[in-house]
Amino acid sequence: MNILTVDVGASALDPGLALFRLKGHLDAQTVRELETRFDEQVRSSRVRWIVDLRELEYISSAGLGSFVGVLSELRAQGGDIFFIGLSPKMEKIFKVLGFTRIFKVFATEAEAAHAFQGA
Amino acid sequence: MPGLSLSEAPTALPDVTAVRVAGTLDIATLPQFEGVLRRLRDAGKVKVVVDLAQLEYISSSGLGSFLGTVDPFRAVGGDLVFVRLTDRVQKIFKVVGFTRLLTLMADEDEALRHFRGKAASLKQLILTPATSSPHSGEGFEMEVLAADDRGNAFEGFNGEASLRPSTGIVSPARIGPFKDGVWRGKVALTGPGPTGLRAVCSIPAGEVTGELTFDVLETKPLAVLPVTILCPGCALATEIRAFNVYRCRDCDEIYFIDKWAHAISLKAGHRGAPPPPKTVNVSMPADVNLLAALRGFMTAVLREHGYGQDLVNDLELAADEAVTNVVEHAYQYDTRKTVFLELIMEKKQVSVRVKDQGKAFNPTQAEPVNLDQHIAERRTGGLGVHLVQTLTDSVDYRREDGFNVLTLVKKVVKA
Repeated sequence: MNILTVDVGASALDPGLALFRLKGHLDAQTVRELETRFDEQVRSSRVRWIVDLRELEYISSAGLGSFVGVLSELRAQGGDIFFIGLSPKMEKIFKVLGFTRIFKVFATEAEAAHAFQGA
Repeated sequence: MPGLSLSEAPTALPDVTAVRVAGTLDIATLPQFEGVLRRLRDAGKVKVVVDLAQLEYISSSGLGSFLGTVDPFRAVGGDLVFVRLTDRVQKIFKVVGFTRLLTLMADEDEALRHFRGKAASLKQLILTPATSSPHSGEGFEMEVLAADDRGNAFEGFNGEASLRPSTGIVSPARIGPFKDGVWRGKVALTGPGPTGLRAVCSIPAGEVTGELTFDVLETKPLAVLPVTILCPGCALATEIRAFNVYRCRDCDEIYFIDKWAHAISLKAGHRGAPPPPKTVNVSMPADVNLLAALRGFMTAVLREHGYGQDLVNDLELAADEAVTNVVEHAYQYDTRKTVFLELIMEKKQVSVRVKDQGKAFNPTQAEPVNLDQHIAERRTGGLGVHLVQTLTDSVDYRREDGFNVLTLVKKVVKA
């Protein structure tokens, strides 16, 4: 039940960007799957990520922590994580943990891709 | 005053019959007495309490008959137990040596205890559920018997027991108090799949357990309206258009239709709908793979009790964080260990109490979160405590009797 689906591919707007689409529940169980997918991208030197949370129904700190854990690795290689598609519920958790200060959040994939191109 | 009057009556035990003897037992009335007993034996009623309180006179031929009637009952595993002997009859029985040959007892209660079998010690718990394949999350009736090693009730037990599932969640996690060695009530398991359920109680001699395996089925599909139901009182078919309380047109039965289209009679023993339980307790193995099931269970219970979406979301996350911490820190991923969770639902607040028997761990003493430092150190953990504290109105930690007890309280905010 409520298993996480992680769909990773190149952004249609810029093949240099990895687009993560998360669906379902991201918790202490399912985060392991996500971290495997993180490693794949880091190994293939794709370090600029857009993470789409539109279809993510639930996230706990175990899931959020995985983004914190990988961030300095990405930034060291000139990459970053931009989030899109936050529901009000996700936004609240991001604010509570101070994520909005650390991560950039955009409404759409186009805005996030544009921000990467400007960076 | 010649004549004999014999009357049969049921007792508190379904397989025990009482026979009341009044009047005179002599050569003339003896066949009548023997006839009644033979009829009982032929009908398979072989456990009989013979009440002699009204027996006024017994002749020597009557005495002989007593002995002759007992053996056929004992031969098939039953017995005749004679109770409430008058002083006069008692004296006669003693003189002829019957006190050694017959089972004599003070009254019917004592006789029933005799028939039920008196357990000398508590050795096991016997689980008898109404079904061995319940639907996930749906309560079913279960009886738990505190018994000796032969399965006789240990009536002296009136304590509590805990329920522990091999997987998934059980509610309630604690059952009791037992009454005369028996507990009866509703139990729910989550599934689907095979699930072992262990009942455990602690007595001075150690732990006493009982175990049973269930095949938990997928959650029953909700009924689609309109649906035709049968009145639980008279079986009158009625088409209903809402899950609500109805009064039968024919028999005046009052009943409630739940979301699965069960018709639940509200007449027996209570007025109106029974109040929903205010405290729900569950236990589960310390396994992160069960977090989703736990959240599903919690949100369903809270929603059913009418709490708002914001409170449900916040407590769902706070409880997940608390249980994740227990699994990681207190139990260090040992899935054989048990996490206990209690939801206490009140009008103005909801409390979630998480208990574990792991090593002492006080999450409220964790350092404040410094995200920049987390990022620099590539730390993935340590955020949960902060979430718990922010999402709830109070967090209290205690170490009690070898348990970590973490209580999270969320106040109800009027929209």
